[in-house]
Amino acid sequence: MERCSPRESAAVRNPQRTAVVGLGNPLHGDDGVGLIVAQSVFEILRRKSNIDLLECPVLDARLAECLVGYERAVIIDALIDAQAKVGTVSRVEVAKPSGDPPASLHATGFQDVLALAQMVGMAVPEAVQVYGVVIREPRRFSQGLSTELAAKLSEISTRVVALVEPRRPPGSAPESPESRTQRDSRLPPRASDTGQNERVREAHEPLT
Amino acid sequence: MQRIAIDPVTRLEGHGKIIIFLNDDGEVGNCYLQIPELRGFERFCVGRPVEEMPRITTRICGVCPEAHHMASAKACDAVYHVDPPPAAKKLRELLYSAFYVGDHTLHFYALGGPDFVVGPDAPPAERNILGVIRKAGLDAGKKVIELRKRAQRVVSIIGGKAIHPVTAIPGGVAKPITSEERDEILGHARFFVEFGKFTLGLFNDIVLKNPAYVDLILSDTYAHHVYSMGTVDERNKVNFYDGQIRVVDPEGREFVKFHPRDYLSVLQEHVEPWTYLKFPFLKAVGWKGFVDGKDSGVYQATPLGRLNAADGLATPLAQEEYERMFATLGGKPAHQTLATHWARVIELMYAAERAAELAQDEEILSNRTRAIPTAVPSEGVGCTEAPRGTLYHHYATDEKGILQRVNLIVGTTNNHAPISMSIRKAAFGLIQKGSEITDGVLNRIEMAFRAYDPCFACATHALPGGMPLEVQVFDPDGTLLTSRKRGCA
Repeated sequence: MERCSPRESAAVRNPQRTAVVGLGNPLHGDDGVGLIVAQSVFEILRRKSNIDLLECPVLDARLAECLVGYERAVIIDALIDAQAKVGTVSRVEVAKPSGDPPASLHATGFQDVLALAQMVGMAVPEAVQVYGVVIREPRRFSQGLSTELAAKLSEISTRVVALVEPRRPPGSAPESPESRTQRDSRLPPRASDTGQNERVREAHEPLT
Repeated sequence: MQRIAIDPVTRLEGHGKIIIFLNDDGEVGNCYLQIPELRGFERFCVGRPVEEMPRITTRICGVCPEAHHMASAKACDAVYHVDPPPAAKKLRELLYSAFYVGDHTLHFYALGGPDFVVGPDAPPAERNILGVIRKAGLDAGKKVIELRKRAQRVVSIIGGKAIHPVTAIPGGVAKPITSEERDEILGHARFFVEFGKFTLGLFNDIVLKNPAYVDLILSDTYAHHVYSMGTVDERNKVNFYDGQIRVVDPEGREFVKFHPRDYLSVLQEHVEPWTYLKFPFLKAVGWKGFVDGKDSGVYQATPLGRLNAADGLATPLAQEEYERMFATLGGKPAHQTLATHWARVIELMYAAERAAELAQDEEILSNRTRAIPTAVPSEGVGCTEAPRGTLYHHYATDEKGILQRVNLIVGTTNNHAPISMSIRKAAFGLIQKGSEITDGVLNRIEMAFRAYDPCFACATHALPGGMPLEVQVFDPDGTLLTSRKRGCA
């Protein structure tokens, strides 16, 4: 298992690699679900893909620095959504650079650092996919997942793997940017368009 | 009463909200900083073996795990009544210096730089780290990324992991380093020093040579006369890893110097009904409210506070800039909140020089990196200077080393009162009757907040990766007149 490290990693030597990133805090109850699902996804995909597993507490500059050199990043995190059932997997849109400096280093822009790396000519992932697993907000520090979420872990991991690996007929070309745009156009309006929130949910049925 | 809220909308608790109330005349009636802070970490730790704490406490915070790791390890040393060998102390300090270099670099280029390199009133789309690099040059951007990579590499070599180091254990560090690793670290440290000089040059050329920026730093809108706190060595020089805590009064006279284990005799915490935050103050002076002056127990423990509290810095380049800063600011102590950014760059220089010193110390190659604890564990306090303020870890265990009590004062906590005072003063000074509340005005209020680099999100993380702000203006009847969102993609 390769953890998040800025060392001259395999990513530098092999730009075809994918980083599977688990975000979260393992001491904050269900907030740590991203770490567990990422490990599970890594175990499933490592046999057929050229991937590394990274762990990071926050979606911040440090993670962006770790992703320099990777071709693709798949990030899995916990997500608060009171309207969705626990365990629902949603595609999440990473906030674009706001323009303003953040108020603290906790909010230092993930996108800003990727953009900075790109600006100075460094290789950054062409695709960053973020998936949120819906949890109920943990109110205190604790180890382990809630019974409700733990019971769905296998199904959640399978769902994320299916999303990460779009089914294509053997030998078909990878998805083009145009077709991706067309697909995205079928999605519900962006949060910023509605002024509600920042999430973009794909048409996933909640897990039962 | 009208209400203006600068409310970061994040997915989890832990971030702040600035609420400004306007009165019937359209002027600021009051201003509060509210933090829906996650509580209970200390309680979570009770019942666990104390030696687990250096690894557990790194999970408090995604930004400064190294600070908690070190303070926790030092608390464990005290609990076990063991003194780590010199090599262990130096390796810990070397790791910590590399962490400081990386942390202060990110703060300057991503948080402080946009306001002072690009400009506080520049279009929001330019007021970010990319704008800083556009102005400073692509080479600066490459240097920033290179610096951050090297700093994390040093943390990884000594700490075992880049983000959540695991090396510090009761009595020392878990492993020595090899001569090859030392050589690599020394190369990184030399880069830190060159980078520090580059950043100081950038600050001088772009910030200090611009009279408008200097006026902004010297503005009374961003000034507070409070006590200053910081850790000093035996010569009263700044030290991030170890020493005694020194407090100077608003005139710069030493008020108290104490061993970290005595912090409870010096500090007390005040509570307010409108926030979860506690407000530490100097017990001997007393809590007089959110007010400046020698009779108010409010103190700051920030980069500027540390430089105020010390008699200097122990490395030459940092000391040179330290002297120049206080000469420019009109003497010592300095009370200009925005000068905290300058102090932070000076601390970056010090950390870089200190890392280079330690990397050349042959003692760090010693294989004796741990003293095995033999005494019955009891109680101890560990303290370091976190980038955001003095950090205390206080543990009490039973005779088997099982935690019975845990108390933490994290860096930002020291600064809760001055942060509240700073945003209040900025709001009063910048929002005038009948004036439009523009993005520029809000940014200048935020600048008072941002100078402290407050760290409220320990143990939480914001998935969108931003810190959106929402401003709402209500009329005296509670009707929403207008709202303004920023940072909401």
